[in-house]
Amino acid sequence: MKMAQKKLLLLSVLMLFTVTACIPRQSYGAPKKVTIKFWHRVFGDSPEGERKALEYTLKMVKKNLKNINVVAEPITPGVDYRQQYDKALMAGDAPTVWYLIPPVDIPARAENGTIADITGLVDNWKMRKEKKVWNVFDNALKIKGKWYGIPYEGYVAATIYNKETIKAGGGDLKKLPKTWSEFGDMGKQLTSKEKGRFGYILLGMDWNAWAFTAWVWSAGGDMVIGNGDGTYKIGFQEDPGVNAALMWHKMIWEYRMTQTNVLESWADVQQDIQSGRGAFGWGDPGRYAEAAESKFGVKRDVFGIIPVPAKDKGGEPAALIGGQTWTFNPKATKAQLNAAFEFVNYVSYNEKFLTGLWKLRNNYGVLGPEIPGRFDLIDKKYALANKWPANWKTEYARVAKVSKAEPSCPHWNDLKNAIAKPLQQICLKENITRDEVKEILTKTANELYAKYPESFKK
Amino acid sequence: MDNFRSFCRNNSSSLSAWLFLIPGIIGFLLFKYYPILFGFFTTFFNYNIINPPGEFVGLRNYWLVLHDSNFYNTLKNNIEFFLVTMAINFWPPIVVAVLVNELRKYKLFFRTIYFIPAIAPPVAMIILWKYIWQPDYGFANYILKLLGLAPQLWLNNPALVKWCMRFPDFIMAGGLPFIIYLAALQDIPPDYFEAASIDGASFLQKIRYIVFPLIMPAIGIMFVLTLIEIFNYFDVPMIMTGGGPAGCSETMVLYAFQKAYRDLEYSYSNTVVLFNFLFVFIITVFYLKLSFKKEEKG
Repeated sequence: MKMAQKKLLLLSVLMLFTVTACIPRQSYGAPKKVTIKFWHRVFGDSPEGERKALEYTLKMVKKNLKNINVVAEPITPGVDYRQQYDKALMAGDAPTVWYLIPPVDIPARAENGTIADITGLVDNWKMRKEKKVWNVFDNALKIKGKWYGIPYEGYVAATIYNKETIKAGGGDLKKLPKTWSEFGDMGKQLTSKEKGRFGYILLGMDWNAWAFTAWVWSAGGDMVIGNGDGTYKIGFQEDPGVNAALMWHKMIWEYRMTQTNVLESWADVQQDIQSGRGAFGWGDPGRYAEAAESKFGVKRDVFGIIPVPAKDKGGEPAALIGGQTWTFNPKATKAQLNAAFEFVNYVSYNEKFLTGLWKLRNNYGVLGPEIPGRFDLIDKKYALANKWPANWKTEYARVAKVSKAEPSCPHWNDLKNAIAKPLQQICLKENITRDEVKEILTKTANELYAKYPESFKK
Repeated sequence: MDNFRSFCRNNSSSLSAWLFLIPGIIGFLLFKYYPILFGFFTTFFNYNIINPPGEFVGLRNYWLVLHDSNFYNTLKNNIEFFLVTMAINFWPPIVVAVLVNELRKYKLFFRTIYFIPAIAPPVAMIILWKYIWQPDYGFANYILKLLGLAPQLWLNNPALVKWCMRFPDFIMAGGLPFIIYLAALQDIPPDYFEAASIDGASFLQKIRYIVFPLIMPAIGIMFVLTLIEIFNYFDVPMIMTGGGPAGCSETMVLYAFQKAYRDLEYSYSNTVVLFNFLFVFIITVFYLKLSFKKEEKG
């Protein structure tokens, strides 16, 4: 080999060493950093407290979960979040983890594979073994023995009331209604269409089954009843369901206590409640209070919550628990799933982190009454909430006692969609008999039995 | 090589035409025909967005759609919307175009005024009208109150809902149809009218015997376009009523949209849309054949 060739070889070897030395490497033994994508609902124009809470979360994650790189992205405001997720999933751009899917959506999504099976992670989850995880959604999250989500937080929906509107209509806040007849009488008294004041803002649009479920419960019935073999009997066409539908009809046509446009959109329903047009409405103050203040200048302490009144004296009032769940991308790698689970375990279940987050939220006035997935910490959370209106803690506790989780049987969402139109039909027909109501509901139930025989059985 | 050169020289004009057309054709195939054909393909599957195309189900979706009472309800709604449109929306642009065409002065002004609805943002107009029909604090009931009449439920009334939804296009009769009719009217040679005047024809006789026969092709095109518009009617029902009350304003495309994005039944949704397409296609072909036959006879 000539001298020049030797020099060239030496130079090449030296260059190779130099180049490889410049490539960043993970040292042996150090865990590899995993990148996960997380979708949230905090935007540039969100309240300051919300933005600070997200900043705090990401800062703490960076500090404490050093092996995870979190890419946080907001969902697009104004676009249905389910559509966004499905489109992103098709485009290979979906988040590794997010928290917006309600528990009732889980069975359908588990079936069509748009969320990941996380059975291995949940079965070995220390929090769960220690019974610190809220189990109210277990029926929805565990499908055929496999886990597809874990609780993010829950809400209690019942009857929200507005103290100022009740006072303006001459109502007595000490005698809030406990039965349907008291509710109807008070609603009628409070309503003044000339003054734009309504006794009850009825949710009659396509999501009416959401509220109707609690009314059926308050009549002593059930929307679906388990047969014990994985199938369900439909219950809304039984007497309690018929009574509940007739009560809605009475509120519209006899007590005349609802807004005239009972099918108004969800956005309009919310505005009617936030602006104080409604004395009573469906939902919970936590959902409305913030927007009521920012949009209409209505202070949060004018709102309160009571259960959906019982049908008769001695009957049980009702309230419904709903919520959101953490779900995972079915296309994520095993390492990403593990990292995403670790992330969720920290931001939703770590006591120290949650305490810090709740304190921060409380300082900025954005600590809501949502029930945390870490159910054993609920008292701690509520104790930190020193900026809530005085009545909220006791009222929420009272409502929580009579609340039940929204049913989550297979095809529950299909059942809810199927009942929406018949309920509207009942609400809009001024002269309708009990038999007609029963017939409409029975027809709907029979259609569901025929369409989903694997889920609904008489 | 020489052959190629001479071929290019001889066909230079059609070659350059093809070169200009190719990008458009590729775009059309890629963004129009491919989605249509792919949509058709998915109707034979239970489409799964994670593992496309999912389970093969043959004609099951077609069978389900044909046994779906909601589908027939939306078909009925589409037909009713079409009839309402023919009753209150189809003829006003013709009348306005005839009247504007008769003007001696300010024609440009009126042409502009009547064209403005075509460029107004439709969503803003729909939301505005939604609140006009609001039964508690809307403008429509306010007017009725001033007139001493009973307030109405408007969009909440199954009998009124379709009329209310099509009414804005009635009072704002203009836009694109108006311009098309006006252009057709201006194409009529003035000699025809002069000759008719000499023969003593009245205004209505001129309309009947000169205007209508000569603008018939424009009317035919507008008929087909209206049919297509109504069978793809989505924005107004989606924003104004969400398909309510009790499904009375739910159109086929709105139903398909809800099936896809609310119920995650993509294949079923595509099957509904396919039926919608077939329906419009059959009527259009039938109508065009009829018009051609008439023209041939003429």
